[in-house]
Amino acid sequence: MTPTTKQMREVFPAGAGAYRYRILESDETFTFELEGQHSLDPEASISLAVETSQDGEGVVRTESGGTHAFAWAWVNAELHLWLDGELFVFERDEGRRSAVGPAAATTGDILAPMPGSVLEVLVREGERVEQNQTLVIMESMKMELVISAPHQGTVRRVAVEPGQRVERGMRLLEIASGEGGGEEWVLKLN
Amino acid sequence: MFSKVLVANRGEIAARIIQTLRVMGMASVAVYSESDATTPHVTLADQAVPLAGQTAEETYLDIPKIIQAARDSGADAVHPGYGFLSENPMFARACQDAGLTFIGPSPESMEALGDKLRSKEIAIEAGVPVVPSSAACLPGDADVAEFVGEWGFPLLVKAAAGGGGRGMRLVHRQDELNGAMESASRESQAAFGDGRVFVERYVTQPRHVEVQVLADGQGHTIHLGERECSIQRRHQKIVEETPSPALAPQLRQIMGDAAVAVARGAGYVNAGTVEFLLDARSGDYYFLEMNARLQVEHPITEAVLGLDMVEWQVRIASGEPLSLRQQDIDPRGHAVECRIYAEDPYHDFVPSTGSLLRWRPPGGPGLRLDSGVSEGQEITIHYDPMLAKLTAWGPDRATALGRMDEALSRFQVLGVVTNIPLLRRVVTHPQFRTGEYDTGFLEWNPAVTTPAVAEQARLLARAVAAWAADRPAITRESQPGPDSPAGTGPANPGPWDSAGGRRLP
Repeated sequence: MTPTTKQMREVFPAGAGAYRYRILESDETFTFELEGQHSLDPEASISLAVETSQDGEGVVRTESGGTHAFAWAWVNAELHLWLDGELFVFERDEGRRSAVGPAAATTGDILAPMPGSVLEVLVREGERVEQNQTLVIMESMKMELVISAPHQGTVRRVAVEPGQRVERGMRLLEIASGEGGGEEWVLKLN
Repeated sequence: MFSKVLVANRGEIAARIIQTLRVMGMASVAVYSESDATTPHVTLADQAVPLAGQTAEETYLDIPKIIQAARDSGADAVHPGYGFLSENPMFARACQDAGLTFIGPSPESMEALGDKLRSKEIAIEAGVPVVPSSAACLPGDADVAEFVGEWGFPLLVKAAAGGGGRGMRLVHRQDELNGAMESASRESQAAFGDGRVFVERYVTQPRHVEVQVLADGQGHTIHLGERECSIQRRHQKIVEETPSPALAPQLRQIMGDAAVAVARGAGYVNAGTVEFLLDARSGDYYFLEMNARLQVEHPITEAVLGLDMVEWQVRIASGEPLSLRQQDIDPRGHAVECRIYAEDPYHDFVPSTGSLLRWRPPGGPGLRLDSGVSEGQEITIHYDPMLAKLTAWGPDRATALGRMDEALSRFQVLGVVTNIPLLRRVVTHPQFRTGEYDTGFLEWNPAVTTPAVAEQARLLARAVAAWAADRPAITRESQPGPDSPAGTGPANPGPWDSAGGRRLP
């Protein structure tokens, strides 16, 4: 069988960005190879045998004979993987970014880290903000969440108002950065 | 004794209380919000009364609705659990007025202890040391400036009516003070309906040690030993153990006696907890507050004493004398509790919501799970993100901690992010293992809250993910948001549908 190159992004725990890989599959083993690394690099390829699998869980055995329990489930486009007591979350990368490595920053959107309601918006459109400056105060699960500026810049758009309910990932405001900026929101809890 | 008890709470604590009521042969009544209709506390109870609404305010905090539910169901007593209305004197009074026994202290002692400043006066009168603090004030008051002038920074802003870390802020500089007071006041107003705050000297590197007390209506008060609660994030406990590694027998006795003195001074009846700050280097301890309710972490006390605290709460509330004497309290072994939260331990503990697609708690010798959730349940923004508590007992500390780590390593949860990896890092941490830690443990050890996956483990995870990505599994579709483009779930593998390899057996 001809191996196909695929692409995925790791979003949790480390947010390591996109990577490309190939799969070589036979009856007994499943070989995974990371692309873009030297093929002799021990961290670039691994072969597994999936011993059992039912009800969304299984056990894999590596070449060294080690066994690892795992379970998985999909949450929308995210693949949640429990492996040896750790959670990993991957996302299918639909070719939005073609290169391996961390995605380049494209926007200055400040997103709601979780669902809740907006208590206060402390900045106005056109206002210049410093890094770590408080932008929005949200309430969720009976706690206040302070959303701070991840970098300095200018508020281009305020998308919410006090009292408004927001869903996770909804844009709260947009910050135009003088220095490239980042797409990640930064959250500080008081 | 009572014939039927209404449990005015939800989640793990409601389920845990109902279990004891069943053991004691009493009928139980659960109340529930719209989103909790099929949660464990509802299915476990003999009877369940819906409280129309979704939010805590509309349901578990709505006194008239709960009193009505108790009347309609023919209950003769109410157990409030912890949180919600458990320390609300108005609720205790409303129960009394409706002819229901409130399983807890009197409204008067609740009022006195619920006010952090009055409770300090009670401790001072009982001869117990306290941390210096200002009077209750609002942001910008002159009292604050005076206190700051005397004690300087750092200091803590606290809600006068507070508890559970709500409305508490650590302030290092003058320019942070007003903002912290306003934010604490707002949070306190929202959580407790009381926006008063005060400032308190911040004891650096303290340990948080609390003593459990039990008092009956005949004036007999004893303590049940201490709980070490210094592992905290955002001023909320996440790991507790007993006995405390910081207490030598003499100090244990002194603090136990101090706790009993405070409880007596408050005229306290039923189960309560006296919290202390302990400077382990000097052995100085300070009264912090007394919690007039059952504590979240009570299972570790039960584990080393072999008793049921809820049973004693019920017996005392029904007028029975406390038959235990102080000399009967003889802890055996060591117990540790971990609180399982739906939150991201690597990103400032942001609560995580979603559908609990997989929930497989571990079992084994010395383990106890107090859980309020079941697989498939939605974890919403309406309530506290604590999902469950896992307690491990062992004949010694090393065994208890070993059992905890082993159990956590088998605890499978999918659908929401949990703090389980963080809890494992804490209980296996060399400094934690020495027993020498304080409330700054997570701050002093930032590596514990930083994702660090070994390259080999990451490669394995990516490989297993690649395997799983082409297989059918449990799926959850929700409203597409900006992070979840529609139609890219497993039902539509698109560019991924290429392996065509083995299927699941």
